[in-house]
Amino acid sequence: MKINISTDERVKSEIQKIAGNAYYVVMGLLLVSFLVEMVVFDSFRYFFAEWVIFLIGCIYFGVGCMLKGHWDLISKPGIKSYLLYSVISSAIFTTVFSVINYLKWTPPTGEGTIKYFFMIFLIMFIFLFCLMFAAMFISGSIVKGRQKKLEDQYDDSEEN
Amino acid sequence: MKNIKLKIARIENDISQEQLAEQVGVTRQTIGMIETGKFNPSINLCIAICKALHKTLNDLFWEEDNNENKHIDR
Repeated sequence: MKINISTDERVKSEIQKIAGNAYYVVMGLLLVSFLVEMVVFDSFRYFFAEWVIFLIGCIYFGVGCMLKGHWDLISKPGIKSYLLYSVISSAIFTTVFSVINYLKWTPPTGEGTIKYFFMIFLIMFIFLFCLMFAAMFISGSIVKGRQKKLEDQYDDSEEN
Repeated sequence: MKNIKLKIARIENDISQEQLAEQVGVTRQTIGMIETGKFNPSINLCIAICKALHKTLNDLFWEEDNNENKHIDR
């Protein structure tokens, strides 16, 4: 008597849960490895392949969620969440990127050095913030559109 | 929460966990976990189990609430 494991919803759901956790572990470790490699190596080409894999994973996850009409578990798509996520992500990325580059950089001695570095930090932050906000706005609009489409598709108000 | 009703119905029908699992297309562990309340089955699996045991969803999966009984009595 053999049971087809693929029909067992418990087994499927447990495997999917484990695979989901494995995805987060791999993405987290890849992110950590980038940070280490950015400090250790001088050139981006040393970890280009991993970066591409990481991006493909992120794009697959992002597009998958967008097409199903999911935003996240704690907020709804809107200006408030776009602003919040843009500020947080830009601040984290700019800080990490600046600290790593500052550690590798040999600054010229002088009074304007810190000011110059701070200016680059600020410009990068503003640029990333605008980029993130635009990306959030576009993806949020797509998510809202998908949610509306799904609501309309399964709406029973006309039947009643 | 343990599903005693399911276990009793299965014993009444004189079938083992493995036989029930085979009939509804899941593993024996899944039936064991439903009986011990470790896994919440989907409505489709509940219906398949009910059909295999010749019971209704109410017979096997409806939990009587004390407050609800009081409300119905009134």
